[in-house]
Parts: sequence; C-alpha cells; structure tokens
Amino acid sequence: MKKLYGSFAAKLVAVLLLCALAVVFGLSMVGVSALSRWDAFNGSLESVTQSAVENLAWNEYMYVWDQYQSGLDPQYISHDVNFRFTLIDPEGKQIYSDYHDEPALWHITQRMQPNYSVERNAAAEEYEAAMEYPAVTPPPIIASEAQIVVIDERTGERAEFQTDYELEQWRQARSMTMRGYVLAELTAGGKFAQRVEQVTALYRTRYALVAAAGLSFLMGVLLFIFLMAAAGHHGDAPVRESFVDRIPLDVFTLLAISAAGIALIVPMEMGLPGDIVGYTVFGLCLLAAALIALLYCMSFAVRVKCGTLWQNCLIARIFRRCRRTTHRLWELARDGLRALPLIRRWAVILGGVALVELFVMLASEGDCAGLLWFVNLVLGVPAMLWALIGFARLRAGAGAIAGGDLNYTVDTRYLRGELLEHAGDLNHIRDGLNAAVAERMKSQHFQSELITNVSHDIKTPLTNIISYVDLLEKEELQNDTARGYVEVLSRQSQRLKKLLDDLLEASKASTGVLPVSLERCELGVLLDQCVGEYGERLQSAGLNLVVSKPEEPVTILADGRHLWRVFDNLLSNVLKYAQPGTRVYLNLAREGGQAVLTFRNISREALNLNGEELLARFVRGDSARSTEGSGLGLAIAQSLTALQGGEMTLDVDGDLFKVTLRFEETK
Amino acid sequence: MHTILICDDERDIVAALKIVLEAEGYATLCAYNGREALELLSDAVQLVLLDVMMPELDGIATLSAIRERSNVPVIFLTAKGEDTDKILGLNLGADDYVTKPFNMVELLARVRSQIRRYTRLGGSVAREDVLTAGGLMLDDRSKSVTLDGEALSLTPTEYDILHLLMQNPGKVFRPDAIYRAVWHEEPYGAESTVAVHIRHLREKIEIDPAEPRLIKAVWGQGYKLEKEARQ
Repeated sequence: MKKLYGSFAAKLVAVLLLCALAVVFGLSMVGVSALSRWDAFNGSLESVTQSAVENLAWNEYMYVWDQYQSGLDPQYISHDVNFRFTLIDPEGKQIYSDYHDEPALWHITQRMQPNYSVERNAAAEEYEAAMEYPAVTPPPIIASEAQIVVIDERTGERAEFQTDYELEQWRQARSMTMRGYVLAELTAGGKFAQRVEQVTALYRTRYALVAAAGLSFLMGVLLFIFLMAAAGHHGDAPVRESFVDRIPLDVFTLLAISAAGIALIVPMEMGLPGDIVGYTVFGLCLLAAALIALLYCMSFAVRVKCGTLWQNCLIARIFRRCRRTTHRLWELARDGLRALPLIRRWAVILGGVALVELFVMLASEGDCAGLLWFVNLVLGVPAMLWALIGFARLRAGAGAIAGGDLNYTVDTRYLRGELLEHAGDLNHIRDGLNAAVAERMKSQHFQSELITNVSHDIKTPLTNIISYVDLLEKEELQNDTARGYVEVLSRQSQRLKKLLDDLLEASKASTGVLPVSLERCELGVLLDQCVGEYGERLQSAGLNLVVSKPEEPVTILADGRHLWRVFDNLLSNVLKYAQPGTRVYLNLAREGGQAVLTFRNISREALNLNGEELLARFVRGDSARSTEGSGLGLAIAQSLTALQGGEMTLDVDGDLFKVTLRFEETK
Repeated sequence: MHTILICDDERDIVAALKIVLEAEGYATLCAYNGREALELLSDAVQLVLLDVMMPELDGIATLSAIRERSNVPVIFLTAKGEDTDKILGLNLGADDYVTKPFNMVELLARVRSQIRRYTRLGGSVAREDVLTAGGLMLDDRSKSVTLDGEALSLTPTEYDILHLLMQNPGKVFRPDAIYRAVWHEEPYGAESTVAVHIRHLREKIEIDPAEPRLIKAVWGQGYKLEKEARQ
C-alpha cells in the first residue's frame, strides 16, 4: 500500500479509472433515473413502454395538428410510421382518418382550437385587462369603441368582435376534435420503434444498471479515498507539498471554482446541439470539472497532512502579517516606554492619554465630557489606590528593616513594574543584612572560641613557667645578677598571666557569650563598696577621692559581679594613670530616668588619643606601653556595660579624663 | 608527716609541685591521670591535688570515684578558670580549687589549710556560743577567732562584723545595716567605713583577698558570709 501511495503511475491509473467509473456511474444513473421516472421497478414492460412512448406521442400529435393548422391537406400530413390520427369537425363529422381500429399502444382524444391571430384596439385591451378569464359569460358592460379583429390562420377567414366573449364563442364554434394513436404492433423504423427498442433493452438490464451504478459509486469512493490517502506521497519520501499545494488555499480555491465553472458554463453558453456529439462534449466538460474538483480535493488532503491548510491561506498570511506588525509596533512602543526613566515614562503616558482625551473632546464637541470624566474616575482612582497601597507596603517594609526586623518580607503580590522592583530590592537588602549578621555572629563566635582554646593551651606552659620561677626564687642564689633576672622573669610571667585573663574576658564580653543575671543593684551601696576597696590605695597613690551621690537610693538592674568588674577596671585605671596630688571625682546622679555615673580624673601623661580611640582594644594612653596592663581594661568595661544594657562613653578634654556610665533606672 | 597525692598529666607541673611540697615537709605521691590516682589513693593520703583536664579519666570523674571511697580533701587545679567549672567541682565534693596558672604561695596556703582542717576535724567541740563556718571558729565567750585552729588577731570592730555575719550565714547585709548593728548609730554617709573594715577582715581571713571564699561582696547590695564555705 505504501508503495502504491508513492507511485505516480498508480495514481494516474486511479484517476483514469475514477473517470471511467464516473462515466459509467453517470450513464447508469441516467438510465436508472429514466427507468424510475417510467416506474420501471414496479410496473410491467408494457406500462413502462407506454410511459416511455407518451412524450414522443404527444410531440407527434402536436406536430400533426400544427401541420393541419398550417393549411395542409390531412392526407399529406407527414408523421411517424407507427402513428395514426383522426380529425372530426365541430359538427361531429369525420374529416379524415388513417386509423383502422388496429390495437393501440397509446391513444388520445382532444378538442383542438384553431390557430388564429388577434388584434385588439386600445379600448378592447383595456377591457380585456379588467376582464375575468375565462370569458364564459357575457360581460355586463360593452364599450362601444372596443374592437377585436381575428384572422383564422388556416382558412384566412376574418372576423370582428367587440368583446372577448364573442371571440370565445367564435373559437368554440371552430374547435375540432382530433384523435391520435400509436400502434401496438410496431413496424420497424421510426421514432417509436427505436424508443420501444431502447426502453425494452433498458428494462431488461434495469437491475444490472442499478448494480453498475452502485458498484461504480462504491469503487469510485474507494478510489477517491485511496487518492486522498496517497496525495502528497512521492516515492518513499514523507508527505511533501508540490508547487500546486503551495498556492495559497483561498487563491487555489478560487482558481479551482472558476476553472470548474468555466468547464461547466462555457458549453451551456455555447448552446450544445441535442445530439450525441453535444452530449459527449457536455459529458467531457463535466468530466473536466470533476477532475478539477478531484485535484482540488487531493491538494486539500496534502495541505491537511502537512498542516499547512490555514497557514498557507493568503488571508491567514495577511492576517498574520498584520498581527505581527501590530505586535512589533506595540513591543516597540512598550520597550521605548520602558527605556525611559520612571517620571518621563509616565509623563509620556499621561500626556498621551490627555491628548487622546482632548481629541475626543474636540471631535465630539464636548459631548463626551461626562463619559470621559467617568472613565477617568473608574480607571484612575483604582490605579492611584493601587500605587498607594504598593507604596504603603514598601514604606512598611523599609521601616521594619530599618528598625532591625530582619524577618520582615515585603509582600510583592499584585505589585508591578517599579514598585515590584523596589519591593524585590528591599527584600534583597534584608537578605543581605541577614547574611551579614549571621556571618558576623558566626565569626565572632568562632573568634571567641579560638581565643578561649588558645588561652587555655597557653595557660599550661605558663603555669609551668610561673611554678619554676617560683622555685628559682626559693633557691639560695649566690649571684645578685641572677636574682635580678629571676625577678624580671617572675614579674613578666605574672604580667603575661594578667594579659591572658584580660584577653579571655574581653573576648567573652565583646561577643556576648558571658552569662548575665540581672538583679536589683543599688548604685549608692556599690559606690560605698568601691570606696572601701580602693579608698586607701588611692590615698596612698596621692589621689583624693571625692564621691557625691543623691540622698535617695538609685537602683538599676545589673549583674553585680560584672558591674564591679567595670568599676574595678575604671578605678585601677585611675590608680595607674591619674596625676598624683589631684582629686578624683566619682559622681552618681539621676538624669531623666537614667542613673549616670561619672569618673573624672587628671591624667598623668598627656593624652594624644580621643575617647573612641582609647576604647579600642589593646590601646593605651601611653604609647610606650611600659606600664603594667593589657590595654583591654576600658574595652572590657565598655563591653560589660553594654552586656548589662548600659552605655559607657569616654571624654578627653585636655588632661581631664572622664568616663560616663548610663543605666536605665528601675523602681 | 602528711602525704599528698598529686595528679596532673603535665609532668613538669607535678615535678614542681613535688619539689615545693616536699620542701614544706610533705610526702608526695605522683599520678599522671585519674586512673593512676585512684590506684595510689589509700588511707595514708591526707590531701589530693587534682587536675581537671586529664586523659583517660578526667578530674571530675576521678573526684566522683574518690568520693565513693573517702572524704579526703581534694583541691582542684583548674586551667579553665570559669565560674561554671568551679561551681561544678565544688558541688561534686571538691574542698577547694586553685586556678592555673597558680601562685605557689597561695597553693601552699590552701594545702596547709585543708590538711589542718582535715586532721583536726575530730577535735572541735560543738557549743552554742561557738560559731563555725568553713575553717573559722568564733568563740563569743573568749571573744577569740581561730582559722583552722590558728588564732587570728582581729580588732573589736572586725570581730563584731564577723560575729554579725557568722550569726546569719548566707544572709546579705547592707553596709548601713552593718554600721547600725556594729556602731549602734546612724551612718550618715559613713557606709564606706564598713567596706574598709570588711576589706581588712578579708585580708586577715582569706588566703587570696582578691578572690574571697568566705566573706563575699554582693556588689550593689552588701556583704555575706558564704554558707557552704569549705575553707
């Protein structure tokens, strides 16, 4: 089958076969339709012959009458060999007959009126127009000037009447009776014998004809299906279009219809003769039209198979081209607008809208004002509300993120364009902050862990060093130089120990891994305790401690041990760095719900650093770093203060060194 | 002659401790991990110096094992120096702790204190007018105070303050309350005097006054005598 599909010869054969079958089908259908018109499938051969003859017989009858009317003597009237007739005048007298009571296949008796010419004058015409036919009764009014002139064509007799009634009377009086017969026993020759012969043959083959029609139809359909299936196949190659199939569908359809139309109309317009040649030409034309239709169907099938049915349509192409063009224009406009900055874009859009509205207003001479106002309201107000809602969301998101809520996500639902981008950017900023904070926490934790581990590892050898230095000190060293060295070793190892402890504490305090338990803490009591601890030492260092505090107790929430550590660090700082012979002020005051502690002293060395620099780790007022201390004291104090929710600031004013601690007061 | 069991995985430290302690007249046994310490532990041992971080059996586990057998005093040698470790050690039954890197003088003082207390434990008589806390004993009749059996010389004010604190161990006294109880008058800004006296008191009682174990300052609230002090 596949091979057949691809074979051109098979298709050609199929087409030819289809043509032949069409001819067969056409002819057999002609026969079948004629037979069924003659009722051949129910009646006997006789009745069929009668029906088949009737038409011919009528023609012959009228032919004979016309000859008689033209004035021919009846005996010279020519007619078929198997036709007979009898003429009877109005009075009932037989004028002529060649019928001699033979058995008749068909016969008829009819009153025939003469052929005549009529001429009416205007009045008669008018009268006739108003008259009712047939004019069997005399009319009520007779117009005197009406005149009808009648001439008998056969006899040339002339008569004049005033009314059609009279004409009718005249006609009736001259009508004759004519009888026609077709003989039952046909003599060979002539139309009737031929027709009867044909009909008999047709009648005999009537079922064969039906079968032929049915079979040819069925085979035709099968061939048609085959052709449809095979259309587009060329050899073993997959279905492809030929140049015919590439003609746009609508053009092709028009071409096919006009070609088929020409094939059908041209022979009809030319007026084909009614003989066998005419019919053959007509049949061939019909065949040509059918072939065109077949080709069209095949091409249609190919298009369907290739899926190019609509695609290849000129109208579709034009439509597509139009759509593509409009789409491209729209994209161009949209991209152009997008490329513009926000303000300019909306200026262009709103300007465009305003121009269109102005144009509409001018065109409608102001009739559309109300409608335009309504449209603006319906479209504009929701758009503005939408923009405002978007802005409100952005505002809330930015506020939350600025306020430190790093879990806030700006809702991007229903947002479009710049608002959406803005919301996305805000969410990105938040993500970035989150990542940075997490990273920082991690690294701080890691740092603290590292310092804890390292200092722990350092402590073991340090313990050894200190222990053995101790042992050395106990030895009865004879050498003074050696004793001096041991003393240095002892001092420096103790300093190393202090440094290590401070480092550990600083790292813990700054990374917040230190546990803090906040309790009520009375600052007045703490000051007293501080004075108790440091008073004598300060005095012996030549410093005069001046403490001032309010009468009522000042209470804050703090971790006593950490707070003491802060005081301890600050006061030991004072001991180390204050100029001997000066006063040291320790002041406690209330300031707007806050407890404020200030430490003030005069520095022994000139301070060339500001407060912030002094708070940095490992920074010390003396650049030589010769004195004891790690340089972490202030940093630790600040971190511990922050851990307890307080704030520590440092001010340097010349030689005045001032530390301020602020805590929220509690009741 | 008292025997001290030294247990530390750091051999140099053990050697140093051995030298120092033997110079002080103690006999020593050396172990380098918890398992060895448990093997060497006997009734002859009067004190154990125990490192916390050790291989095989660490100090905490060793302490638990020791406490199942004996109530010999144990001093922890801790390098961690963190409050949680100290508290854990003390709660598990350690009698004292020394933070590495330690000072030999302090260590010796603590060793002496623990041994004295352990060996004289049976000698103390429970009397109503005698207050005890840690190694402290305050006899109100003779107005005398002894620390691990050694007499302390306190000023009357110091004695009164200590008496007040020992009568209510664990209770926090505000400086002004102490002032009123001891001086029998209103302080009028003289509360810091109390702090000075407390400091002096600590210097006499505590081995390391900078890190008191008996008389503690509750910063911002007052002072108290540690209730469960083991010194």
